[in-house]
Amino acid sequence: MKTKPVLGFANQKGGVGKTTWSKIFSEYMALIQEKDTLGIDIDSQTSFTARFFGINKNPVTDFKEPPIHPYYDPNNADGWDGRSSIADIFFGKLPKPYPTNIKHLDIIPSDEGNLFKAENIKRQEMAEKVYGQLHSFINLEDVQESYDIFVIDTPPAKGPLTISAFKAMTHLVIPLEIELQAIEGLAGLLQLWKQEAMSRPADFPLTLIGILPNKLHSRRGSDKDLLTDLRNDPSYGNYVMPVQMVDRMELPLCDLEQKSIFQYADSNPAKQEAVSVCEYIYKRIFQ
Amino acid sequence: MKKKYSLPSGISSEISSTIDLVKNNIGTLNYKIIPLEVIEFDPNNPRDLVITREDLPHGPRGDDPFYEQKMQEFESLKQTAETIKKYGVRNAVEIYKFGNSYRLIHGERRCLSSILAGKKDIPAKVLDEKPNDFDIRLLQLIENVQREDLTLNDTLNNIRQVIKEYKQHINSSVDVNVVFLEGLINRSKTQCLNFLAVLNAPEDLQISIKNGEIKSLEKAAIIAKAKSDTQRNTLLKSCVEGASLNELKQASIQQKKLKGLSRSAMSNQKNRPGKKAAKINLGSTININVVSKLVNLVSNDPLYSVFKEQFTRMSFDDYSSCSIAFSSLIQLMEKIEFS
Repeated sequence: MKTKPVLGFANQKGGVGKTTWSKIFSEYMALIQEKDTLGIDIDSQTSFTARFFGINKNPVTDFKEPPIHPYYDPNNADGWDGRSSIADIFFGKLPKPYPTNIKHLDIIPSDEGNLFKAENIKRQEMAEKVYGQLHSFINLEDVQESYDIFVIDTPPAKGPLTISAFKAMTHLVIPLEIELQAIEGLAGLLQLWKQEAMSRPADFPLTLIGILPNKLHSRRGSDKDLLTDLRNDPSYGNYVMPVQMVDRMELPLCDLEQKSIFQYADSNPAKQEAVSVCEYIYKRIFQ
Repeated sequence: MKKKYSLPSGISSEISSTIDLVKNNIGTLNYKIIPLEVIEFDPNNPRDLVITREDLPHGPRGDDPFYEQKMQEFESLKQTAETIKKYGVRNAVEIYKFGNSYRLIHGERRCLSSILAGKKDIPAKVLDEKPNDFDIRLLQLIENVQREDLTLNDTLNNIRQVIKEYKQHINSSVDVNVVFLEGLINRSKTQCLNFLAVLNAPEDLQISIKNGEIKSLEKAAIIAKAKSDTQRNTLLKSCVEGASLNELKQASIQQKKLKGLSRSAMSNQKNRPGKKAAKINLGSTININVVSKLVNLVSNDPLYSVFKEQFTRMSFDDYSSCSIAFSSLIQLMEKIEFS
């Protein structure tokens, strides 16, 4: 059985657009392409989860936790507390995807406390208990049969959870703000991609779809110049995606209103850019 | 419009080199943990290990025709198994997909030791395709050459096979020198020089290595480098009789010194380059009696009888007066001989 595509948005720097693009692309696949999509939030900051289900804090531990599952029945719980998250895979349990208000789109939420515990598993146990778990879960027969594509939002770090996500991915997109510090950080993330891509067998490659120029400031000259340099580089220029997203106010508004960018009018420039980016990624994965 | 900003070259080259590296090396670090039960051993592996998986649970059977060799191998595997229990397998074995299982390219000993250690799986570098027969054979041979538990004879045989395969499949006219060998078997220059000397050594040394009388490459190389059959025979004899490496080195140095002396004597007979000798150096002695005797002998010669009185006045009390006396003798004799 050929593995269904697993797309990860990754960058070790925070605030570059990993969560935003995980959400936009998951919505695109579900709403526009009508593909059964499973979004996975493996970042303990739980931002991807919050975009769909709001923030749920445990009043005792103060950690952000998943909401109560809609299919939870306290009278038939069999010891389950009604919450499920991607952290379950690190502790021998199977997570239960949550339906969203978008047809074809399910989400497995994050769980701040339990992901924190998973990250602190002893080093020698890490390879066995963390690194391969997400890959194993996604490749379960039931999971593969239920979805057409998996989209992973990763933490802004190169730690064990990110490694676990990399080991599960078939495709990678690196959102990047076009400013010097972010580009310097890019080299570090590429090292992680290098390690993983070189370790893959030929029938399970990790394809770098590209670096996605994000949050561009159209009036800032440095953005334009640096992006030109990146795109014109003879060695890696073709890894810089030919599409881009300008820093627009619609995107944070979508989050506040828990709305999809694809619900805006077709004439909206933010939607147009989102569509062109998603179409590019979609074609790279499926064609 | 003219650009104001540009990427620092350091960042650009780092990104570029990483991407180039990945483009050229996809899959080269494909290591996995593979269940031992799905790894088959290669029946064509040139190594002559006789123990099999079936021998492992209870050890070799007493009625096995290869019992003794198998027992030796079993004990050696048990030692490796103890290390594996403590530290795991440090270097991955190399395998390729073979139907529904995998076939081993190299790492048979690690696999057997892991089974003895009670392990169910082993780290392995997995090749997607079966390498061609020559590549497999070369990999196995090179891996075997790099093992430290082989006898000198086994290692030499493996190197011979590596060279033979290389000549058959890659370049028949290759010059087997130290640089070639270094590149082929990935050993140090010194070791390759030693291997070359032993590989090209005469039959008597080869037989002693084959019989297990010589087990050390360094000792064998000293013997192989002897300049003559006599010298080699002497070194070989003392090595077989148990001479240490140091003793063998000393004996070899001594041989070279003696050879140096005889060469120096021989060279006196030849026309040496440089200024032609115009006089004879009569040498020196610390024995006063030698001078006194020479003077007496000459003075008793009838031809020198006229100088008899002069001779009797010569003093032989110390080196200085002896030297004067001897010089006078030479002068008198030259007068007579040239008159």
